[in-house]
Amino acid sequence: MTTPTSQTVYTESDIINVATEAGRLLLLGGAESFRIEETVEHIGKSLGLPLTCYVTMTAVVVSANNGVQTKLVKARISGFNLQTVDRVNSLSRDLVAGTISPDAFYVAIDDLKQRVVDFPLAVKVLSAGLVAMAPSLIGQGTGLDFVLMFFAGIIGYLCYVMTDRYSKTPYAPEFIGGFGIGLFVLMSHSLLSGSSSLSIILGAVMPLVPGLAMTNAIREIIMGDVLSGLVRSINALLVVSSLVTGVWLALEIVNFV
Amino acid sequence: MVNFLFSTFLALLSSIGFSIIANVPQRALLGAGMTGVCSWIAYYLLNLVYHSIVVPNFAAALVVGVLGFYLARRFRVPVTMIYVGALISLVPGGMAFSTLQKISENNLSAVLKGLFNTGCVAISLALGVGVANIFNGIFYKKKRVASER
Repeated sequence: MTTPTSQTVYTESDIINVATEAGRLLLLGGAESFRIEETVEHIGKSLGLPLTCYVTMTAVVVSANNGVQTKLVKARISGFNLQTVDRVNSLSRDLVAGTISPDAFYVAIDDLKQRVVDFPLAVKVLSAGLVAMAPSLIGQGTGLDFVLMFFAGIIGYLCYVMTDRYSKTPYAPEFIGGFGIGLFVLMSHSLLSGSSSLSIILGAVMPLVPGLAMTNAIREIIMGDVLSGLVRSINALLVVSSLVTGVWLALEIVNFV
Repeated sequence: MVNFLFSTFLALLSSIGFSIIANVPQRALLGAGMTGVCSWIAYYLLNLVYHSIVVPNFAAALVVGVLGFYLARRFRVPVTMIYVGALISLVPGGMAFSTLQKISENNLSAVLKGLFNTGCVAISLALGVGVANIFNGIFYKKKRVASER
């Protein structure tokens, strides 16, 4: 897509292109379907071409209301990146309010497409350790267990991120993450006899389990996006299954050997 | 009492930690932490009183919905950014995990019970946030027309 210079009259395909791109960025960032549809339609309205948008979990369809053009892009969701969502949201809000020009909006969306804003990996891994010390497990573990949960969570998330980086196989990252957790828990169990394996495993999988995805899926079903809600909940189920398989395989292999 | 204070502290760490994993903008971290702590306190106290899993989760999600919406406006972030971190101590992720683990033990009644409980928790959380949105719609009606869109 070429970026139009100022004083250009935007063609319909330009507007559809940029709106679709904004929608795709929102979908990749993990925004809810109804929010994406709303944002894309507002962008279209403020650029002067009323649009209709339909989003499923894997695709964005944007169609002009006068029925001439339609664009469909496919996307593949992997996790959350809410900073992108925030940027696109505030850009589109500025556009609707009229504080930035359509030109600046085009440039900013293009720029956002190329650059991924992210926390450093070390910070994310450490915070995975913090998430792993789940407050709901209070009373089910000693202080030592919580320390072990911290490290198990770090190991699991690290395995997850590394596999995600080098492998394209679906659900492999969760599987390897669960496998790493299983191995670590077994090792700690044999070294420190006082630790309770089950609650450590339950804590360590907290950064990886899609509890939030399940809750969001039900929210989407309530909001009327039944299709995308169902797809999300099935995806969540598969993610949990692959985690369980990973942990279970680690336990079985060690038992077997 | 020690358990209560310790778990509240862990809830703060969890909320902020998961917000960082989900990559929310930095100005939302404080709001997510505060909302997470308040909803955890609501959950913990009600959990001592009620023996059902629905009421504490519903009330905690109600707190997340109302307080999260307020703080999202305060820190000028989309409200999802607050929910993501604040709900992490409540969402039934660990429950889903242990449910599926029971499959490998061939324990059918535990699997069915776990599935039912997981669904109940997820639905009560979603309903809590939804009901909170009804209140938010009433409280902020005038402002919303003026500032949004």
